[in-house]
Amino acid sequence: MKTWKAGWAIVVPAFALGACAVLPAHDAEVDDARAAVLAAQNDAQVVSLAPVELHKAVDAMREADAAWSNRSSIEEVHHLAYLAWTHAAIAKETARLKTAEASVASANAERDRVRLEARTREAERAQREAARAQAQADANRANALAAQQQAADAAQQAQAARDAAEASRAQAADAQARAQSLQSALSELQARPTDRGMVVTMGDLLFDTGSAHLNPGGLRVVDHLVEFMQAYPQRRVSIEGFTDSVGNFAANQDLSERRASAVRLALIDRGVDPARLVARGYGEDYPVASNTNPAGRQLNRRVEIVISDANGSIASRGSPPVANMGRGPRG
Amino acid sequence: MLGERFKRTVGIAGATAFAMLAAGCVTVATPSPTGKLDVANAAIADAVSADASQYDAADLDKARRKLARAHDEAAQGDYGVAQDLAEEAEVDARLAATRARSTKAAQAAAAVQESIRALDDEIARKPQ
Repeated sequence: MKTWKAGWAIVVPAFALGACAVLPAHDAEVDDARAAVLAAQNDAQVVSLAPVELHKAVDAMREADAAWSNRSSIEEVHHLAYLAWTHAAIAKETARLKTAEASVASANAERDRVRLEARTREAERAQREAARAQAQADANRANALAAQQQAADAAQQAQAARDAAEASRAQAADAQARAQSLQSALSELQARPTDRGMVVTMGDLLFDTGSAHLNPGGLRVVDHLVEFMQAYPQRRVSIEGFTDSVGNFAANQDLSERRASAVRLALIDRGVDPARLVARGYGEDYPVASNTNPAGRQLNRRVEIVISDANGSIASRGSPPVANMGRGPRG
Repeated sequence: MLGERFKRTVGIAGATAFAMLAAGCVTVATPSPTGKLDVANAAIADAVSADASQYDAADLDKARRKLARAHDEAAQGDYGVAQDLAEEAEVDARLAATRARSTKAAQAAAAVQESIRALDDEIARKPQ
């Protein structure tokens, strides 16, 4: 370009004023270029981010102005103005490029920061969840312990219930055993049920003939009665003596009383409380068989022992009344 | 290089001034514009590599047309016009390249900003 201008400077004197004499005061393209360069110079971003490109634009504009002042050819002036305008545009685009690149860089940094923050939050959240899970596990463990305790309590209660049931069973068995014992004791005594309760009959053969003296067989019955009375302390007995109708009435009454009394005394001798024993003689009354033959009369000679109920009460004999301890009507 | 040619040109001009003027041989001062053409060609290649055909096709085409014309002028021996055209083709190509690069950079900046916005949205949606 300088070469071109130098060449032009050389040829100027030779051409004198011939071809290049008339030029307008202003040129639109030069004005456009100047405005573009000026705008670039006033753009702070272009000044700071594209100084090299801006310098080229300013230089090109200076050359265009010089060419205009030196009245160079309009083509040359336009060419230089075009270069100046384009350099200004390049400077503007360069500033835009640098701005965008800086924006990308800072945005990348911002993105990295946001990602880091997100990861940090994620880690914190994971920590919180882990802590929550731990707390839940602790609570579960506590619940399990409580459940175990409850199970142990329940097992203990069940054992207690089993023990209670066992005790009940034992009591029931005991009661049954007592009932069986009573039954067997009564059957040992050959007791028989009557309207007034269980009655043990001591036959004539258990006494010495015509006497109130108990022979060994009678005493064995008395021993059984003692066992019974000791096993069932609530029971009381009524001891009642009878004879057949042979012989003197008063003597029969006397014998029946003595025989009943003998049994009562034998029981008292063996430890039975006298308050539990009542003895009476009924003489010839209340025969259980006919007095017209020896077998019937033997059955009538007897002592009956009436056993009370569990409360100790005994139904009274119908007729003659129990209160009548004297002679009854003759049968 | 140009300085050397200049001095030689001045020397020649000083010695044969009147003879040359008489012959009307003005353009003898302008050397071959081969260097300018090469520079413009390289600038165009750079613009192409910057995807100027996509982002600033108008300036790239202008540069190519001017370079083609510069070759034509040079082939016809009109070196002065060829050189001017080559110079203009070079700055056109450089403008196309710079504009393509700045446009892509602006798009990249917008994309990163968008990714940040998406990231922020994603974080906001997550439970704290």
